[in-house]
Amino acid sequence: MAARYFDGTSSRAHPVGLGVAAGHLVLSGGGIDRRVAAYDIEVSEPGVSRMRVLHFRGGGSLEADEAELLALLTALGLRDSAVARHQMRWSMALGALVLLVLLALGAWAALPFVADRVARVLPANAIANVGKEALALLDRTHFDPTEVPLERQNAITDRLALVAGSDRLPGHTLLFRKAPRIGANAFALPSGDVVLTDELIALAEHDDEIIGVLAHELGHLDGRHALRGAVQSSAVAVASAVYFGDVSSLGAGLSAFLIQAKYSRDFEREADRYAEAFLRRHDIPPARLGAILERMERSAGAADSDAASGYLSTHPVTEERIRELLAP
Amino acid sequence: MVPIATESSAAMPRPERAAFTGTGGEYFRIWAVNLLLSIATLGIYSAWAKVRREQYFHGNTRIGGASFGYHALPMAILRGRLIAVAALVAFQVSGLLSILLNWALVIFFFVATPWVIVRALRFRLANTSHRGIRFRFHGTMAEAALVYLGLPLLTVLTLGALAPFALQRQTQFKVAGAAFGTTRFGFTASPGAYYRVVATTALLVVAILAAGAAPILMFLAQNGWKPEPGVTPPALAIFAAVAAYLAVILVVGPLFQVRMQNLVWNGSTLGPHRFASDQRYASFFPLQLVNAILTVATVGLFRPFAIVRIARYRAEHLTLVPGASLDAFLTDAAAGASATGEEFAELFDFDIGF
Repeated sequence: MAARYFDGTSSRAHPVGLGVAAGHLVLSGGGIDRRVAAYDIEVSEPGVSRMRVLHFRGGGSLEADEAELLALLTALGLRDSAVARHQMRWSMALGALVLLVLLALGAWAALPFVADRVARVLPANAIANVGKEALALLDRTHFDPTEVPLERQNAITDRLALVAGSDRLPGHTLLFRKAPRIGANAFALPSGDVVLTDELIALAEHDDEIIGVLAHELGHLDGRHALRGAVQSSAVAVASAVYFGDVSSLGAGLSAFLIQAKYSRDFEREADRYAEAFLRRHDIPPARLGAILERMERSAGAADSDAASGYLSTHPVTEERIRELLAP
Repeated sequence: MVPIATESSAAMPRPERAAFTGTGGEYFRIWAVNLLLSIATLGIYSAWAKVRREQYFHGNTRIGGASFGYHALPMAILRGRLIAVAALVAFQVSGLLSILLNWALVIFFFVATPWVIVRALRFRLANTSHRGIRFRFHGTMAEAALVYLGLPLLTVLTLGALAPFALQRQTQFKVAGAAFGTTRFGFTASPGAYYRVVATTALLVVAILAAGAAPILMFLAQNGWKPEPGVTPPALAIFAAVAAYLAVILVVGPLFQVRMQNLVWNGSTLGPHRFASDQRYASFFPLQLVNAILTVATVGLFRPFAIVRIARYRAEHLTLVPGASLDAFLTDAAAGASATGEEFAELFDFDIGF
């Protein structure tokens, strides 16, 4: 195919002959006579079906076969950039992918540490507001005023203070709520509010079981899990969006969800370890926490928490947790 | 007998089918290196990666014997991206600090949308060329506000009834505002045609979702609409629901895309010329299905191949029907455009393209 020159003013294609003279590209033929200095030429990258396009500063362009052009371009001293030359080699592409996988694995491993550093640097009340809003929302939708008598509430609060002794606990406020739709459970909100449900208190057969649950929730506060989770989840969302781009929001959503679930499980494990250390330190057997966990599991009716769904849920399978708590 | 002098007839040029000359293998190599360098440089290289990608696709798209050019400067794109990232970070941080501030930013971004869209279109078109002539965009921010803010709001108020109308107006804004040199594009597809496409697609989606939800609804009906905790629907019912969801994406999605592409291109004109698009669901659906399966099976590695397959399909089913000589287009010397708009649009996943 002959080289075609476009003068940049009209869309007409002019077939031209090419030559080189004194550092200039010479175009001639069909009424066209033009010389363009080498430094006024921008060459398109290789890899476009063996055609090249030259753009001339001041207007105009040329489309020609790569084979025809290369000799001329070399004579003019115009070379492709290093990346352009290398990117078309299969070895580079495959090498790039291997490196990517390594980077991804490294990032996966490093993300908790990075989130940790960032979370420790952010002010503690960075998401306290979110916690307050969450509590307000829960009070509207899931919580009813507690029916636990005030003396019992104070007894629990006092017992925690007594057991903790001179320990420095993370700032917290114990709140009591009735939650018929949630059942026996406890929540640590990033504002420092720790909510105990009436159903949990009813389920407990010994106050130390409640202390165990409180220790676990304090573990969440101590580890700033809500804050770290928020920092981690935005990193995951951005990474997923970059890789999956606009293809199947399905894929991006699913992967982000799976990764998130794992981080939440790590946080639960951390909270369990904090609780275990706390209980042992104050001569309370961790089995207390295990016992109430088991009862909560049974009352929630999840009789078949099998391994497969374990990975997908945000709480590690309760049997696993109980076993880790009972281990010496 | 004196021969009657006739105008040396430039016979009407014949219809030109577009072509895509790129291959999956070629693009895969560009894509892999782009991905590595973009991630290794924490996204800085992504501006160069984008230019490389666009130049590959523009340069391999040919019509009437000439390819397209993409001229955006990586630095301009990088600037735009940094601003977009700063906005995203500000949004995330505001969410941590105060719900009020978060909502203020939401409203700000909403209002800024027409500005972003107009700048993105101007930037993209001004940096696209064909036969040495640049494209242009002449749509105004007032029009953009009307079709991208006003109409969507009305659509929400009418519970979606205005959606096809809004879509038609938005596409009209994009197409009729575009120009190739001094020649303006035109858009003739009617709102009625949009309603037909959206209505038939919507009916299909509803039918599939109803079929998929039926087993679960039956289960709920049998259990008095409020099942005890621990009583779960049979696996088959859940499977049916998930299958319906996938069917909507994989089966109805391509149908909608094909009909929309045909509708838009068949309704587009460029001066005296027209376009014709003859995509068919029967050929596009298998292509997309294979794309989806292979992309998932290869954890995304097939994606560059999938993108090339789609580009090739779309090009090969697009024809330019000339109404005059193709040499007659003239350039329009107008000022350049900056990149910020396009990068905002890309980061927040607006569909700017045709």
